[in-house]
Amino acid sequence: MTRPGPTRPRALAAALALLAMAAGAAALAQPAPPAELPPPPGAVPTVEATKLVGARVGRRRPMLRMVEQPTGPLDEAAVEEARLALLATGICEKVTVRLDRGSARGRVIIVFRCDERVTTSLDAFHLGSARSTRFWAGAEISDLDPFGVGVGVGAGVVASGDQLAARLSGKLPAPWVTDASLRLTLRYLGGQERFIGPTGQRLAGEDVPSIRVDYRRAGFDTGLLFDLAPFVRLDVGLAGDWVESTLPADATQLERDGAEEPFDFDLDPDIPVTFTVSGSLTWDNRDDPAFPTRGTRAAASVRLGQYDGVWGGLAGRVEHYFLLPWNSVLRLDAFFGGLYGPAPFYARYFVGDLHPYIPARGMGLNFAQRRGPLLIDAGGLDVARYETVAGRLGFEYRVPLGAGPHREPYGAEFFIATHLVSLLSPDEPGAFDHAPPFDVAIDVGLRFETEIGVMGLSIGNLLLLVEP
Amino acid sequence: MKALLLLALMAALPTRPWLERDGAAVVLSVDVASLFDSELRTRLQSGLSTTLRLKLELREIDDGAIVGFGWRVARVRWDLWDERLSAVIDDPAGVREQTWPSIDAFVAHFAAIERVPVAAAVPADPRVVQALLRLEVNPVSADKLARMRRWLSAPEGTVSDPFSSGVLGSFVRLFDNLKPGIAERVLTVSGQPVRADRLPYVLRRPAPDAPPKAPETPGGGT
Repeated sequence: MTRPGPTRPRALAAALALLAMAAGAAALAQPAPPAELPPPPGAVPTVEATKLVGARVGRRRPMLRMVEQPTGPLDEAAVEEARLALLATGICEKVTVRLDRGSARGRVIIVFRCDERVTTSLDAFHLGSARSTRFWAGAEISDLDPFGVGVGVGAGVVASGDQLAARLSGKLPAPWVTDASLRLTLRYLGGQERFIGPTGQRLAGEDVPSIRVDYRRAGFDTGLLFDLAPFVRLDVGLAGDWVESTLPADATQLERDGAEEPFDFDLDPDIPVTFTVSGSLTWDNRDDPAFPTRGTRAAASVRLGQYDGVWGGLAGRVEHYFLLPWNSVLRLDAFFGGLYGPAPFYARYFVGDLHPYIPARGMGLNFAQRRGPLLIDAGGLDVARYETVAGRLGFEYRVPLGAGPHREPYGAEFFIATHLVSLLSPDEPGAFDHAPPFDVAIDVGLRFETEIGVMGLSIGNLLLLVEP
Repeated sequence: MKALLLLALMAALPTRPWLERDGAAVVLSVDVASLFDSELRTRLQSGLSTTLRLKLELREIDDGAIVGFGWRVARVRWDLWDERLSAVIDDPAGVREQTWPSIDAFVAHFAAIERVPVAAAVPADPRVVQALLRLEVNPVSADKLARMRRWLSAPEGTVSDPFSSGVLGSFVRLFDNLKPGIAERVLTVSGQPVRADRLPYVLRRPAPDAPPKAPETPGGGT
C-alpha cells in the first residue's frame, strides 16, 4: 500500500535536519580538556625549609621526615608526592601545602598542614550461630596511631560459651630500617575443636558425631614489613605457639578404604611449643582497596615450621579486575595452597576459610563446626575440615547502582559471585579413590560504601549468620 | 544616570547559567565568581601551582544525557614576592599566558563565561534541558586516588591466605571514610531547567555552519 503524499517531503526534511545537526556538531566539536597544562611562567623559588603543622606533637617528627624537601629549587612534583605519601598514612583527612616567604627574595618555606582524621576503625565483626555452639560474637578494632607516637595498635576478642579468642597487636616504624615496619601480635585461644574422621569416628568403639578436644593456645607473631616499591610489599615473620591439650586415648577414625585407625588429631600434647618462619610477597596495584575497578592483587607466601618433624607450605593467590561496559566490574581470582609434612591442625587449610557458606575461623577458633550446604556433592567436601591442599577459582561481577562508588564518593553495588572450592589431604588413605572433593558456591548481594565505612549484605552473609 | 545603571546591569553576566540560541548553537553565559570562596582563594594564593578545570555541560533532565559541553582549564601560581598571579589558560579558543595583579582580577577573568557555545544543535522540542557547571580544583587521577586510600588495604591477611582479612573480609568495616573525590574540591552551580523550544533566540555572531535561514523558535526565558 502506498503512503499518502505529504509523508515523503516530511521524511526528506527530517533527514536534512539530521544532516544539519551532524554538520553543526562537527563544527562545534571541541577537543577534550588537556590532562595537564605547563606551569605558569615565573622564576622557580628556592626551598629553604619544610614545616609540618596540624599533626600531633608525638607523630610530627616521623611525618615531617616523610615530607621533608631538600633545599634547592622547588620541585612541585616532589611536593605533591610528599602530600600523597602523607595522605597514604591514613592519619590525615586532608593535606594542604603552602609556601611562606623565606629569609630572602626567592627563598621559600614549604608548610604542610595535616587535618587529622578519626583513625580508629572496626575491622571485623564476628557474629553467627550454629547448633553446636549457639551464638558467637566478637569484634576487631584498630587504630593507626591512637597515642600520636607513630605506633598503630589493634585488639580483638570473640567468644561463645567456654570458647574465647583474644589478640593484641602493634605496628611501628622499624628502627634502623628505612621503609619498613615492625609488627607484633600476641594471641590467646581457649577452644573446643570437634574433630571428624574421613568417613566416621568412634570413641571407645562407639560411633559418635564428632570427637571434642579442649585446647589452649597462646603465642606471638612478629615480623618486618618492607615497602619495596609503590605496589610491592615483603613480609618476613616468625611465629611461636604454646599449645596445651588433652586427647582421648580411645578415639579412632574410619578411613575411606573402611579401615579403622587411631584418630589423627594433628595435635600432639607432647609438643607444647612450636615455631614457624614465614615470608610473603604482595603486589597490589588496584585502583581502590574497597571497590576496585582495575588492577591486580597477587601474593605468594612460604611457611616453614617444626612440629612432629619439619613441615612447609606454599600459597599463592591472584585477583584481577576488569572494567566492563556500563561501569560494571569483573573480578577473576584464584587461590592455591599446599602443605607438606606434619603441620598442626591450626596451621592447615580450613574449609570455612575458603567456602563462602561456611563460617571462617573467628580469630583462629572454629565456632560453627558446620558442614556447608553443598550445591554439588562431589568427592566428599562435606567431611573436609583441616586439610593440606586447598584451591579456589572464582569470579565476581559487580554492577553499580546509580553512578556507583567508583564514580561518586559513595554508592552501592550489586554483585554476583561464584566460586569453585576444593580441599583435600592427598596423604590420607584412599584420597584418590574418588574424584577430588569440590563444591560450587554462589553468592548474590549488595555492597555499600558510606561515610562510616563499607558494608555488605548477601545470601552468603545470611548463611554465615544462621545455620540452615 | 538611571539609564547608565540599567545599561550596566544589563551588561553584567548572570550569576546563574543563562542559555540562549545563537544561530544553530546553544550558548551559555554565567559568572561563576561566587564559586571562588575564601578557601579556594587561599589555595590560589599558596604559592604552589593550582589547576582549575571548569566543565560546562548541557544535560537533558529526563535521562541525564549530555547534549552539549564546554570547558576552560587554568594552571595558576601566585608569586609570593611580586604579589601577582600568573596563569596558563586553555579553552577551545586556545592557550594563553597572562598575569594579573590580584586574585580578584584573575577570578573576574576566569569566571566570566560569556556566550560560550555548548551545543551545536539542540532540536526546538519540548525536552527539558539544564546547564551544569563543575569547577574541579586540582583534579585527582585514578592513580593518585588509589595511593591516598592505600592505608585501607590494611589489615593484611594471614600467611596461609594473604587476603583473608581484607577490607571486605567481614561484612562490615566501619571507619572514618571521608573519601576524596575526583578533585581536591568540586564546586558546582546549576541553571534553571528550561524547555528546549523556549530558549531565547538571538543571532549575535556569524554562524558559518548555520542554515541560511534558521527557523525562528518561540521566545521564553531560562
